[in-house]
Amino acid sequence: MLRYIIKRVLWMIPVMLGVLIVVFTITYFTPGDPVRNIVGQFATDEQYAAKAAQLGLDKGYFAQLGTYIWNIVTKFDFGTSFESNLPIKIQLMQRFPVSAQLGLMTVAFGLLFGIPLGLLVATHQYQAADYISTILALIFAAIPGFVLSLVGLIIFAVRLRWLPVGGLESFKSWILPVVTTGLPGIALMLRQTRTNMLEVIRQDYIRTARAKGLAQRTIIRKHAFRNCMIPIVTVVGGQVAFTLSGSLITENIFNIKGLGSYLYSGIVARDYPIINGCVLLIAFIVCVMNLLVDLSYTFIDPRIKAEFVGKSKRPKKVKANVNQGKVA
Amino acid sequence: MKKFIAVLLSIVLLLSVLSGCGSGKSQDGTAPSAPADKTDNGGAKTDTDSGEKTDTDSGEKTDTDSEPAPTNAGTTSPKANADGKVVIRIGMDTVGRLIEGTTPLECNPATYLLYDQIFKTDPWTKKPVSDCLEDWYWEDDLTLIMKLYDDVTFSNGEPATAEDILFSYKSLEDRGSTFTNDMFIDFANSEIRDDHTLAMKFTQSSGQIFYHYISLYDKSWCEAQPDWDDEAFNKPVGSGPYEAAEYVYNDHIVMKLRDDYWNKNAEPCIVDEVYIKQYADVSSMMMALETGEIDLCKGGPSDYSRWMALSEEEREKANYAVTACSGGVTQYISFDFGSFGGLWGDNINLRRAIGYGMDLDAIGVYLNGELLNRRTYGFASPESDYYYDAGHYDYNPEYAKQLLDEAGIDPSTITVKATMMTTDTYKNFAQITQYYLEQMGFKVEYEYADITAALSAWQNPDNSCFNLFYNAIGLTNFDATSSLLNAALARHGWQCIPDEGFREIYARCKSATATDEERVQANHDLQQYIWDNCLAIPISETAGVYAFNKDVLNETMVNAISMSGYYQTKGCIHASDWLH
Repeated sequence: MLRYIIKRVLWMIPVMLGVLIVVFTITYFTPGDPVRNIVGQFATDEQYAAKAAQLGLDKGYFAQLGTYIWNIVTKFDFGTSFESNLPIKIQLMQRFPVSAQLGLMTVAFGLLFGIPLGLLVATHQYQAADYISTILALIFAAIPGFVLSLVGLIIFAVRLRWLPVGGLESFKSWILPVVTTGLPGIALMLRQTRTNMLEVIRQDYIRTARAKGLAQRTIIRKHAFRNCMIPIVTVVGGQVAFTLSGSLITENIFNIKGLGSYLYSGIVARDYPIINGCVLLIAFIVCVMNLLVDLSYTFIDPRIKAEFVGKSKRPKKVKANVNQGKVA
Repeated sequence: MKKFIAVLLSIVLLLSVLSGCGSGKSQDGTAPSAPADKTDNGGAKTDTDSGEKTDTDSGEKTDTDSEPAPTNAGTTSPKANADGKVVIRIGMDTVGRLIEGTTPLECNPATYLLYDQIFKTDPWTKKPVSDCLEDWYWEDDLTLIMKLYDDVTFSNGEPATAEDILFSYKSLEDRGSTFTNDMFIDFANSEIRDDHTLAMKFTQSSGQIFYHYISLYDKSWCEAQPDWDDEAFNKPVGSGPYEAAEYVYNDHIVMKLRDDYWNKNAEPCIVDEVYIKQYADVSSMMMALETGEIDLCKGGPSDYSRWMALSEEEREKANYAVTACSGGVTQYISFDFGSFGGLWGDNINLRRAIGYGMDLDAIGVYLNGELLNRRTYGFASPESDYYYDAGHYDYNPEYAKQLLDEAGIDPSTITVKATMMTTDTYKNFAQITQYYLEQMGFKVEYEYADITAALSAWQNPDNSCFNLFYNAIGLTNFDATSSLLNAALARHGWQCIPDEGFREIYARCKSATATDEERVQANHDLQQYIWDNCLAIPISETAGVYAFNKDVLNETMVNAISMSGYYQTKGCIHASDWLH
C-alpha cells in the first residue's frame, strides 16, 4: 500500500508540471498586456520597461517559465500579484480554507440528502417518491448553479428577507451558498445512488438474503449499500475536488473571498501569477482527491485491498515436481 | 402515470419556449430600433444649478392600503441610527488598497477620508483647493511655494512637515506611478525652506500638479514599514478626518470620525462612520442595497430600467430608490490622429461627413436608452460655465455625401476599422455606427476584444486598426478638458491630436496661473477649435446611476454626490455638499 501511495505521489509531479506548462503557455500567449494594465495608458516607455523588468515580463517564454518553476520548487514562491503586489502564496493560504470549508459543507449537504434519497427511491422504484425525486433531480441537475444562487438570493434574501445577501459572517449566511451549490450535487448523488442500488439489489446474493429471511433494512445496510459504494465514492471524490477548488461564480455572487473569486479576479485582470497559482493548487487538490478516492476503494472492497497485500504476506508459490511425479 | 408525466413535461417545455420567443437585435448592419424617447431628456433627470433633480417620471401618488417605506426625503443630512450615530454603508465594486497613485487600480475613495489631499479641485468652483496647505503661490514660473498649516497632525500624533509633502510626491515616482508624468517636478532641486514651507521646483511650467489628488503621507511612518507592498499599509496613518478602525484588503473598510482631527476650522463632518464593502458581483451589491445591508451604491442601466419599470406604488413602498445623475463626461467620437498625415488626419471633410452622416440623436438614445441624460454639443457639462455650443452636427446624409464629393473621396474605397471592447456600450456603438457608415457607402471592419486586449491594440502605434473611436472616460470636473482627458499627450495614436493650435489652447485650459475668466475663455476656445477642425464629434453626456437607502439618504444628497465629482465617500461627509 505504501509503495502504491508513493508511486501515486510521484506521478503527481509530472501531472502538476504538465498543468503548469499548459496554463503558463495559454496565459502567456493570450492577447492582452498585463504591464500596460498596471502602468496605465500614460506611462512612458521607460516606465513601461522598468515595470516589465520588475515583473520579469521582459524575458522570453522559456526564461519566464524556467524562473517560475524554479521559484516554486525551491522557494514555494508563486510570485506576486501584478495588481496588488501581494504574494500569491499568502493569498492562497488565506482563501483556500474558506473555499475548502464551503466545499466540504456543500458535499456533506449533498451526501446527507443525496444518498438516503437515492436509497429510498431505489427501494421504491416506480412509486410516487421515485418519480418525484427523479423529476426534481433532473431539474436541479439541469439548472446551472449560478441560476439557483441568484434565484435563491432574490427569493430568500431580497423578497423574504430571511437570509443575508452575501458573505460568511453568520450561520445564516452559509445557508444559501451551501444549499444552492449543493442542490445539483444532491441531484447527482441521488441519481448515482439510485442507479447503482437498483443494479445491486437485483443480484442473486440479495435474493438469497431475502430468501433467508433478512429484513429489507438489514439487506440494504449490510449487503447492498456497500456494494454500490464504489461508483458513489468516485462521484463524491469528484464533487469534493470541484467544490474544494472553489466555485468561481458562486463565490462571486455571494461575495465569498475564496479561491474561486480569487481566480476570477486574476482572469479578469490578466494577473497571470494569480491564474497560475490557483490552477496549480486546483490541480494539486484534484490529484490528492483522486488518490484518496482510489485508496478508499480498499476500505470498501476487500478484493481491491487484497491487491495491495505485501509480498511477504503472499503465499509462496510451490513448484510441482512433475518429473518425479511427486507433489510437494 | 409515465405517459401523464411525459405529456405534462412536454406542455411545460412548449409553453416555456413560446413565452421565451421574442425579437432581438439584428446582428448585421441594419438599423437597430432605438428605444422610444420618453421625454426631451430621454426620461432622465434635469440638472439645476442647485444640483437638485426633478424626477420627470414621478407621477401622482395613488391611494393604496399599504404604507410607503420610511424616507429621509426633504432633510439635509443622513438619518442617524438608533445609537444616534450617522453611519453610511457604501457598496463598491473595488476596494483594493489604500495606497493611492501607484496605478489607477489602487486608487480608493477611502483615501479621501483617511488622508488629507495636498491639492484637489473644488467641485463647485472648479478651483484648486487643499486640505492641508495654508497657502501656495508661484514664486516664479518654475517654483511653487507650498505652505503647510502649522498644526497638521497625523493619526499617530506625529506633526506633518514640508518634508512629508515632498515625500508624498516623490514616493509616487519611486513606486512607479505615472501620475507625476505630466507634473514635471524637479525633486532634486526642490527645497525645504522651513518646517512648513516647501519650494517645489519644476522642469517645465505645468499646472497639472493642481489636478491630481495626492494624499499627504507621513514620511517617517512610511519609511518605517518594510515595504510599500507590505500589508502594514493596510493600517494606514493619515492626517484626514477619519481613521481606519478596521480594514480587510479587498473586502471592507470601516472608517470612524476622529475626535482629534487637527483642523478645527474645517467644516464639520456629519457622518460618524463610513463603511465600504466590496462586492464582486454588481447584482449582489444591488440586492444588498435592496435588503438594507448597505445604503449607497452605484448601479447600471439595467438597475435603472428595472426601477423605472416599477409602478409608483411599488416605488413608494420600496425602501430604496434609484436615480440617474449627470455624469459630467461627454461621449464622443474621435479619429485616428496617430499618423496625422494619414487619411483621417488630413481630410477634414471626411471627418465632417461622419458627423453629418450619422444621426447622433439616435446614437445617443441607442447607447444610453433610459439613461440618456441629454444630447450635447460641447465637451463640458451644460450647467457649467465651461460649456460652449460651437455648432451642431445635424443628421444630413445628403450634405455628408456632398462633403465627400468635394474632397474627392469615394467611400466605397475606404474601410473603416476599429477595435471595440466587448462591453454592451461598445457593441451598441459598433452596431449603430456600422449601419450609418454602410449607408454612407463605407466598408466597415470592426474587431472585438476585451478591455485588456483592446487597450493593448489602442496603445500599439503600429496598429492601424483604429479609424473611429468611441470615448466616454474622464473626470467629472464638468469642464471640457475632463472629457478630452489627456488628449494632448503625444503617446497614443487614438488620443493624440498633434495639432499645435489644439495643444496651445489645451495648455491654457490647464494653466496653473490663469484666472477663472481666462480658464472659461480657454475652454470656449477649445470647443470652438474642435468644431472648426472637426477633431471630435460630441454625442451626449453620460449619466450615472446611484441606488440609495431612502431611510438614510435622499435624492438631493445623492445627486450632489454625483455632481460634485467626488467619489461617493467624500461627497457624503459634509452637509454643504448637499446644500450647494
